[in-house]
Amino acid sequence: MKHLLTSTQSRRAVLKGAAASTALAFEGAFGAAIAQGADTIKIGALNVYTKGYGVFGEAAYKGMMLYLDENNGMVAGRKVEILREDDEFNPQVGLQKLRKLVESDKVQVIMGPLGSHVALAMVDYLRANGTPWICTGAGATVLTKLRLPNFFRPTVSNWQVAYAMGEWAAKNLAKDAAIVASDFVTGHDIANSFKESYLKGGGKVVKEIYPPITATDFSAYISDLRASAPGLTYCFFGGTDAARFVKQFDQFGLKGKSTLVGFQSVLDTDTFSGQGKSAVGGISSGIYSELLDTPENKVFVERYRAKYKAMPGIFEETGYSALRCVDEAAKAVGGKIEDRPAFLAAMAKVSFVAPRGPISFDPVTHQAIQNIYIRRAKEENNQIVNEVIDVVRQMGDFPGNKA
Amino acid sequence: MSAAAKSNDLYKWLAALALAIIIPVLFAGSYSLGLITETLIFAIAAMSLDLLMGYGGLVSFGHAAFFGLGAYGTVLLAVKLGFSVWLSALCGISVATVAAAAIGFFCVRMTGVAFLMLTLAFAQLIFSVGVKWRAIGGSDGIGGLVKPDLFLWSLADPLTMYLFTLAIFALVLVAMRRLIASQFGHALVGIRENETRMRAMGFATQQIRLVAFILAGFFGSIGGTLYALYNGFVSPDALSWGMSGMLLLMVVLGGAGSLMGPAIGAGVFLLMKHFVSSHTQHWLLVVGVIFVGCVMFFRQGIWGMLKRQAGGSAP
Repeated sequence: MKHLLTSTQSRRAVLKGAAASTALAFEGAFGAAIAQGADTIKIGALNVYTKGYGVFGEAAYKGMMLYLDENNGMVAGRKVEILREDDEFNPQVGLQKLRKLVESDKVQVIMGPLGSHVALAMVDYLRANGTPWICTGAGATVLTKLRLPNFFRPTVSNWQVAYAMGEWAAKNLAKDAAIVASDFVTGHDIANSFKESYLKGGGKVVKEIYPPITATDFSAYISDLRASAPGLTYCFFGGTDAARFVKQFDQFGLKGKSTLVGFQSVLDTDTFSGQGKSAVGGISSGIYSELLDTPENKVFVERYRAKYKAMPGIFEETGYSALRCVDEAAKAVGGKIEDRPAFLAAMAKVSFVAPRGPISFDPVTHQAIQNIYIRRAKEENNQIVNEVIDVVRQMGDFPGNKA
Repeated sequence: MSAAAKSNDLYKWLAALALAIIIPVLFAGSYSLGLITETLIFAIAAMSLDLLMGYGGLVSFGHAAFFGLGAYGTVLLAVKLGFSVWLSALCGISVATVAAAAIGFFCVRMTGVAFLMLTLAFAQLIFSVGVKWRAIGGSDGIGGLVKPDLFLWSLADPLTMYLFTLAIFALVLVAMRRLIASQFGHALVGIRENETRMRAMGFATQQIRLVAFILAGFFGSIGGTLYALYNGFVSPDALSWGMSGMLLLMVVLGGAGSLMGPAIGAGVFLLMKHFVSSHTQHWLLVVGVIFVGCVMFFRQGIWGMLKRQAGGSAP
């Protein structure tokens, strides 16, 4: 309750508090009767909610809240409490917050994070601790190679998305490419996956540039790109960097000369607002497009728009579907999410048609098997959206991860 | 010091020790225990900075360099080269101490703002290597440190980790108190107060400052090493100026020049960080306001205020 109240306020607050506690007691008794005494399920949403990447953490959270709304705040008949913690996109902070969520708040499930470097720092702790971990962002290909029995990734593996684009781009766009990616684990992971597949498709990489993660001005790198004049420019940047790069790419006049190709998060709903028309014509691969013409997606987009008055993107869909995975598995074990071996076994068997299309898990690596869409950004009713121009169906995990 | 006062002091220390060992029984949940462990680790680092700041009058804005080098040495040697963790820890501390000697050689020629900027510059140099060099993890950091065994117990157990950290903390505290009470400590304070006079009296003031700098780096790296053992992971964050600033805040918050002050500052800062940041993303704002309040209203920090409360007018 609020502190520093004046006397009249405090009296009112006391009354309000009394009313609230009565209501709570009533709801508690009532809810317990429905849920047959089952306790709340606590889910730790450990993600980045501030700094340049905060928009993605918020996006996943919004998706989760929409799913809860649709299900009266319940998962498998039990009330859900979502505890948010901000990892600040910093592995050290993430580890601290993870300890707090697991040991102090006693959450039953961890969902998140976005940063692969944060996720990698969490691995040892969660391997020892065993709390089920549903990844809603971190795409590091290696994460599913580590074989954590309690780790599931109902979202992208960097390899899936970047590899799908490589061959396609070589065949359909241009045979010479420059790669520009942020200098951290995700940037290199994505660049390497794209490159492998692009070379396999007969393409040639003429230039590779890795600006530091803190770079804000890309003009020097873009001049460098202009000099090498590649047919296409494949890029990966996160958060606000993606918006800035795509804008500068346009401002420096490269847009007409070299096709802009990107990883899913470079050209997505959450970045379009910052990129504006500079994004139009950009091609990206991703696990989702808001324009997918399926009944599941139409319902999802409609409900999302009704709740948030905006279009959903990849991370909104991921948050939504990831929570559905938890729900499906929890239902399969009769709500007994505390029975970890049973719950994890049920997670591995989860399979349904999400807004993004059919998803299921690789039984060995726990990576989602899903469609990868090739998308082109276009303007429609004063809004930038991603239309689907091709699809790679039901792509599995990186073969090297299963060995 | 009279015999009575001495035994009184002894009782105080015994009481503190008993309390420190009883705490884990009270805080059975491993989370609180982990929080206290972390506090002790940062208390060591903050105390080491206090040696420079409080006693030497040298405000260093690059202390994270030594904290981070200790941490990096431990993780890198153990994970990348397969050294035993204890050996890596010793190497980490040695490397950091040597680095402190090298950096100190240049820095102690300055005082005041020049010293602050120079320490910051050196620390940023080391930080940028940590961020850019991908072989040591780059900005992702590096993990996978297997927690070692201490005789029969494993440091993976929070209680063992706590007791181990407590033991090191006690050793560092005793060592630093001895140092400060020694002739060296008095000379250091003398130099802080009036360097010209000390030089006139025949003290090699620059050398004494250098020794203080090296010792601060050495103790700071012990903190860093413990941090690596506790997390099993290290990232350039441990080398960053943010970390240096945090240590500085802890010292000022608790009260510079008192050893106990920075330890308390570390505790208060970490508790604030943990609890406030769970409730609001703007936790730094809250911490900032409290910090301003402390500096304005508690002369000599929280510890100085507590001492005044307890001992009447005595600071």
